Amino acid sequence: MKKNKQSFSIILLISLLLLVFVLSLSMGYAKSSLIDVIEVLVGKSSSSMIFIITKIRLPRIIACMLGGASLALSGMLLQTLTKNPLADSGILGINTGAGLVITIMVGFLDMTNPMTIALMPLFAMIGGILTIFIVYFMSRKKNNNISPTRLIITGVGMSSMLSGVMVSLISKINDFKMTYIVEWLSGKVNGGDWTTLAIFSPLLLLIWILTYSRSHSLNIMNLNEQTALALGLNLQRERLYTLILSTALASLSVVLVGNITFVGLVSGHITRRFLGNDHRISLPASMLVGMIILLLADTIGRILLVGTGIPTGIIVSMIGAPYFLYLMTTID
Amino acid sequence: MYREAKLPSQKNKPNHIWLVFFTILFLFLIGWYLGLRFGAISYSHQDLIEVLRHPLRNSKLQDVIFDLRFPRTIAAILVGAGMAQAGAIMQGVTRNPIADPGLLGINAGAGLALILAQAFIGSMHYSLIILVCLLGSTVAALLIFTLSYRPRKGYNQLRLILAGAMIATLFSAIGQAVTLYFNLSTQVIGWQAGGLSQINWRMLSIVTPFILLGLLLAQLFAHQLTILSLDETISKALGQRTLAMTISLLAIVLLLSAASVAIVGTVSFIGLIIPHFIALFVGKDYRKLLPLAAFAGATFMLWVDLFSRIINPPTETPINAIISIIGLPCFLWLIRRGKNL
Repeated sequence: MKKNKQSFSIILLISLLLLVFVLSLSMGYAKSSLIDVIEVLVGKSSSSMIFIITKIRLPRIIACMLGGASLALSGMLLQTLTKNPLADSGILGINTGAGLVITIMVGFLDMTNPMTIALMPLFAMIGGILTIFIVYFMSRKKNNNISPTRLIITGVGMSSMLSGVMVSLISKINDFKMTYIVEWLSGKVNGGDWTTLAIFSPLLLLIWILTYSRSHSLNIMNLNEQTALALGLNLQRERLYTLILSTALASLSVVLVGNITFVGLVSGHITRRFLGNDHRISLPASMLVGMIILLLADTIGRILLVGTGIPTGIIVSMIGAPYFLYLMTTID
Repeated sequence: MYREAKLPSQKNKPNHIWLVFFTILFLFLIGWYLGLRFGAISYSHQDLIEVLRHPLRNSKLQDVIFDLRFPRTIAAILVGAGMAQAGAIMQGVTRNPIADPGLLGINAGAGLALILAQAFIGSMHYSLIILVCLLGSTVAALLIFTLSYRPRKGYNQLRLILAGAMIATLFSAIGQAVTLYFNLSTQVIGWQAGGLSQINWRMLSIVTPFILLGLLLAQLFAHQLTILSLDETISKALGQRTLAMTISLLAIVLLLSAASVAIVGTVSFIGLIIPHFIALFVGKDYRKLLPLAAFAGATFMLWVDLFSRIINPPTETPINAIISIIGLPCFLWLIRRGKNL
């Protein structure tokens, strides 16, 4: 019975994702329809339509999917790690930490050099990891326990202040770079070209597989501490590992899709609610949910608000913040 | 441990207060003097004195100093005092060491209201701006307090902060969306990052009474606030009508923050840093804490404004950025210290 429900949910999610994918591909600023998309696939379309679909929309959609899935996965890991359903890479300040490093890179290095772009993921990860370590150690109590509330508050404070620092840095940079970073801050999907995708997608896929291979120990981590230790889990090492994985995921996707909060929170919660706590199921399911959310938000941003181009991150925040408040009032 | 042992002993030394007061006074005067002298154009000491001696003689110098720098520094003083005091009151009322109108989303509420008004009404008279800000901050405060209030248990400290942070995120996201949709970036952008560059005498003459009124009222309630900040049971036992007192104090907070936001934009953390810093020296007696915090806030803001002008002339560094850099370590330190979080 339970197995049935799970496979049904997964199939439902996949078909939803496909639906959103097709919708997103066929709608946008340039007027086009489903038929155009099919024509492109068959190879009978005009060259401009092919250009729009393969060079502009498709990379952006793939970036959204990669980013959404990674953010969701990262949120899931953080929620398991901190045993706090309100954890999310954006709320804990990882996104802004990675963003700050990116800002420094964009500001002071030559962006046309391919070397810089290749190094970007690495630096983003370093920034994210540094931030989460500060947040983590700040919220540690004397008896080595993490206070979940402190963790959230420190993260929120850190991220709002780091973005302040970012603004001060960019006020010294030229206008073009300033626009880039302001857009990044509000979460505009801009990793949408094939070169960036070629760098990021193998990395992300690798981390996805690594994470999934740990789903069993994540399940054990979810139990209470004594049980986990009794089952022979090296809790300290496992925690560190999870922290690094989730930070890497968040930092990388942040470079790809901009500063987007709440995807991990919302998708993690939805998944847990309907599919329970078994990470072997919930990890891939949450990734699907994350993809759907981000793709939907991005499509809404592109279609409903044509021409204004409201950043995806803003739309996600407008959905996510009320969701957070709702979650907060229902749990203690 | 060490700090806990130290705090009460400092409370017993009232002469510290004068030392603190004179240090602040000293910094305040220097800050004001430098604020008048330096900026995109810097003047020599003689020039400044000359202008101050003959305030009515028309010259370019006189224009800059009297019509740009004087209103600007006065605005900085008012905003700093208002925000620091609003933070101090907020911390007392909620008994939460990291309550601050900025962190709790009240400033974001005022900011969103202002952006919406810009979008739908267009250019407004200054008094209308204040009214709109007041409306926005009231809505935000109501939302936050209803969300964090639980029947029979009072408001949960953690929820208060979380709800505040989320309301702030939500409101600024909506604000950004509206800004982009109605193409208001040019009107809004400078204001969002926090800045005093558009101050003039007319605006000051309208905002000043509001802030002064708030500061004075807060002073009148200071003793009650000290009692309220102790404990709900104690303050009730001392005969205080806690609900009425909480509401009137919150009204003062809203007045102060709305007026400050109308001048400077959504600036956070002044209300967090300054009162804690002052409380280190004078303890938690709000009769001393409030005026000193206001004074220190004014001084702090004078210096921040000065720095925003001279770091990278002629462009101005956003005030928010400077405050964030100073505020981050303070905030982390407060979190580390807070025991009941």
